[in-house]
Amino acid sequence: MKLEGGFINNLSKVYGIYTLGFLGFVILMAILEQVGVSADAIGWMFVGFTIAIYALIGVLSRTMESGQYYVAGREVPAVFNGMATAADWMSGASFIAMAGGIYLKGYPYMAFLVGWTGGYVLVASLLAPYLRKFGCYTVPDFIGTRYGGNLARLCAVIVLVVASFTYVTAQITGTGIVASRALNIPFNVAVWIGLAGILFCSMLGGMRAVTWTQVAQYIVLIVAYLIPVFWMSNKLGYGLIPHFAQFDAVNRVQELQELHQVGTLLPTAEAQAEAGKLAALKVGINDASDTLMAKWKFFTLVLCMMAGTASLPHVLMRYFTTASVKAARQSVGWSLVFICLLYLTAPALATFTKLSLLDPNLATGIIGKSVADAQALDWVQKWSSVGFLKIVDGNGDGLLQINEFFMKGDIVVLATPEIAGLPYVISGLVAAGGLAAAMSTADGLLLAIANALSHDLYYKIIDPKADTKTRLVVARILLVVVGAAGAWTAAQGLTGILGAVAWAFCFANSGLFFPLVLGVWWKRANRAGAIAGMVGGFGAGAWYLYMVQFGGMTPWLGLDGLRFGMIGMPVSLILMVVVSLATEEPDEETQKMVDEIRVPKGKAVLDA
Amino acid sequence: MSNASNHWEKTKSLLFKTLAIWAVFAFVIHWFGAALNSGSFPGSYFMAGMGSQLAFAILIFWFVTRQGRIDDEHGVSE
Repeated sequence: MKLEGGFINNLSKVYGIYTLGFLGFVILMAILEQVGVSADAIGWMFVGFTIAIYALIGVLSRTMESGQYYVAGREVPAVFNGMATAADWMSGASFIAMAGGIYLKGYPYMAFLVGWTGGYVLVASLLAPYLRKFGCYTVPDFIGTRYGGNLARLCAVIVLVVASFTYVTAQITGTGIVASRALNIPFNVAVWIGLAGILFCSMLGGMRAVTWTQVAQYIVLIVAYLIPVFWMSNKLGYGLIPHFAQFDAVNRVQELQELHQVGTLLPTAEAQAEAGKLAALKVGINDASDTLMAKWKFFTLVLCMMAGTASLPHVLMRYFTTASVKAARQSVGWSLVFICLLYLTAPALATFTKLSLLDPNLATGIIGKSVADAQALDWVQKWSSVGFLKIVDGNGDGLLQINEFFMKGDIVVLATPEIAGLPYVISGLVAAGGLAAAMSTADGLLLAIANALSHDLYYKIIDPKADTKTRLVVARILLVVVGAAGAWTAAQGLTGILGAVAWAFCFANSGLFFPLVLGVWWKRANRAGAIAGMVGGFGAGAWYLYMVQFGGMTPWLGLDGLRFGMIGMPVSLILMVVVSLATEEPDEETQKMVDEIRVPKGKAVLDA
Repeated sequence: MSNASNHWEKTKSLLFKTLAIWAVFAFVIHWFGAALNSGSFPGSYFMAGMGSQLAFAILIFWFVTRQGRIDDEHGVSE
């Protein structure tokens, strides 16, 4: 295909054709299902076709220029960078686990929704435009140059690697779960297949390739998330647009909760022991508690997730790729718009799924009906056989009570098409969407880690004389090594998706939030202060997490392992301010540099 | 006052306004979540599931416009 004016000027056309092509593919699959092609074959085609497209984009975007490899040539338009950021951001946790979390844990869980969107206000106002003006390739590049010295740079690299590696393991796990379900292959094998796909997208073209695959992945994941919800809302008769229709559904669910005694009829100890890690529904859909502890827990989770958003390097580095400072700011707004398309839909999905299961007037409402009938359902058998669902008739009355139906949260997204009785093609579509979400985030994270190691550790600290070619070869080797380490860790099956994700946010905000923000907003911040802030904050947070999670310590003030940033961040802030003030102020050159990044006009600081 | 420090003063004041609005939708409203649920409308569910997110998106675009205007006034935009 020949494009007048090159790729960048034809993005709308290219991705428009791509979107139509993808929708055409979905329709083709629907037709194949009707003529009797097996569900397995359709699953394979969905996964195979989408991975092949991403890999193709990755190969077409190959480059040997460092500016292209690290920051996609700084020519990505604000809207498309927003789409790429949304895919970069929305992980397997957002796509697969979030609606399930809202379903099972109710209102307190919605703190994640608030935290994961509000963080972008901090990104737009505190950091993104200034880091863009600075002109760095990586986040540690900013820390290393602003504060000076290899030690500060090294500390930032360490925090980045720990936070991102925790996160990427969860994403490769997510890729493995979806691929193993869709392709019917063992999890351990699926993890490595997923990794191969991820590396294909990023290895040859670095940030440039990842940018354009992430846009493609965003389109797949958003289509896959929205179609089932719109379909269900209409099928259940609640209205055309689920986002407006969900409030009636919430009210209806609240009536049904009383009928089914949600929150009072809890699982017996024996039933829970039999169900293992699966959970029954124990809380109401909208129980905003008035206790001080509940408010505090909501508040602290929101704060940790927001500060984490503003300090995760794989998100911040997306704003290094825009053409200008102004475009970087706008791009943050577009990122949030594209993220909201999914996040605004997640509560609706959780609510409609709940309604489908709880409403006795619906054919799909199995709660309160006979256990034997429920166990005869196709989807119940299928998901029970893989350990995602369990029915335990604790009181032996032959009826399925709310405290006898156990499930894994992930099932809400993955099984909803089947629960609501939608055709299999929708399940294939959802699998492709989940895969796109997990792959795109894994791509961004792996690149953030490998770039920090190759640019900051190898080029800036170990061998500053290395030529471009050697640097890019080293970057690619590190990408493969880090990816393999992630897949190996994932194959051990150590972490659930969400626990690890929340940890990554707290590692990042404990170690990096204040050194980054004060680096822009406080001229007096100096090297000694930044190092103290990074080491102290990260160390205190990590110690607290270890003690609460593995050391048997009682959490202070209800601050559990999801919220350890509440310990790390204050330590980091106090140390950074006290140590900075106790030592000499930064030299004139550094102060001038800070003045430079505060105005959009002029060359990037590192280019000057 | 020089042009550069004037620009930075205005930028800081915009930041404080932005963060004040942000804090309302991030923390204050949800602190009083239970009080939002009166009558037939699930207020706390609406604010946590939709309201705050929409407010953040609007807030960012508002901030971007205002900051752009400050940059233009001081002749430091690109």
